[in-house]
Amino acid sequence: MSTYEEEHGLSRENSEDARSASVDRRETRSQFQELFQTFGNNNSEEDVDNSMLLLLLSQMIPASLQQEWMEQMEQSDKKGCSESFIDSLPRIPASKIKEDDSCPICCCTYKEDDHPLVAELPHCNHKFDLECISVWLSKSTSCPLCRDDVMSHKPGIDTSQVELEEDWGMFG
Amino acid sequence: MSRAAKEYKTITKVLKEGDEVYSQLIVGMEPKEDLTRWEALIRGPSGTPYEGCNFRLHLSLPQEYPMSPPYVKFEPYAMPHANVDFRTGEICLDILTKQHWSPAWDLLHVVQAIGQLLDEPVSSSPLNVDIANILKANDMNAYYGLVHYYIKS
Repeated sequence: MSTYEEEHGLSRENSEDARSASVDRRETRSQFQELFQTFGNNNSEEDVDNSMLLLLLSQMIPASLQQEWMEQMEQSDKKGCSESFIDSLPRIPASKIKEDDSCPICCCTYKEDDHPLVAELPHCNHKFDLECISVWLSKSTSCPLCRDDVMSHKPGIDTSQVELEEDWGMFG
Repeated sequence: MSRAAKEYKTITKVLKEGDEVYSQLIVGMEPKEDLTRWEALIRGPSGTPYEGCNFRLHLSLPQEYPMSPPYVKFEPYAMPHANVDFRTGEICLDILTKQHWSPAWDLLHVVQAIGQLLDEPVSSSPLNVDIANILKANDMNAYYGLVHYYIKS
């Protein structure tokens, strides 16, 4: 197996003269290559410990990039509401739907359908076809009409039963 | 009926009856071939260097529309504007991004927002750096001059 240095026509002496950071990276890389040769191909064997491999891999990725990825992941986690939340949206009974009320998303009047399924968002009380708003809320958490963040009104923790100490929050 | 077909009905009605808001801005707006591709001709708003000129917009609806925003562009090499890529006609406008789009908006809203962008360019998010710099320097003579140079040649 040729090392990184050999492939790039570098001698070890030269790389030692280079900045220590890049030397570290090179060493990490060749260490990773060795480990991968040993363990990487044996995924079927359960007793192989890949944690060293992963640790080395994470050392090879710059910290700033790692942070960026983490932020991206958090953002993508935030996208959309859970299915259970969407299912729990209150429905509007057909008797309460006016003749010419229409869904702001598909622009169809609810009464076009003999059995309309209309859902109402909590707090802002905007109404939509359940089908339309489900699609939207699966990738967003905002009301299409007023941008109210529907997930920001999580039911508060019931504190009425909690006995508060008289001097709470008054230290120092 | 599909959402695009509903919009087609509304738009033809609005343009025929002469709506107060939209007739100021929209000269014409119609689908090309099918309802997923549209063309609009908008009037340069008065009190801007675009006054007296019409600009063509190309709108295309993605499959997921209205859950995703439409793609909107000016004609290439026709729109000198701080938030428009002169070469491609691409527009930088927050409501046209996936994060800021709302399915309750329609094509008329989009065209209206673009008309507003002509009126109020945002020099902090430029696609045309030259014009944005002139605006930042608040050099209105140069701004009018540069825009006129491009749209009248």
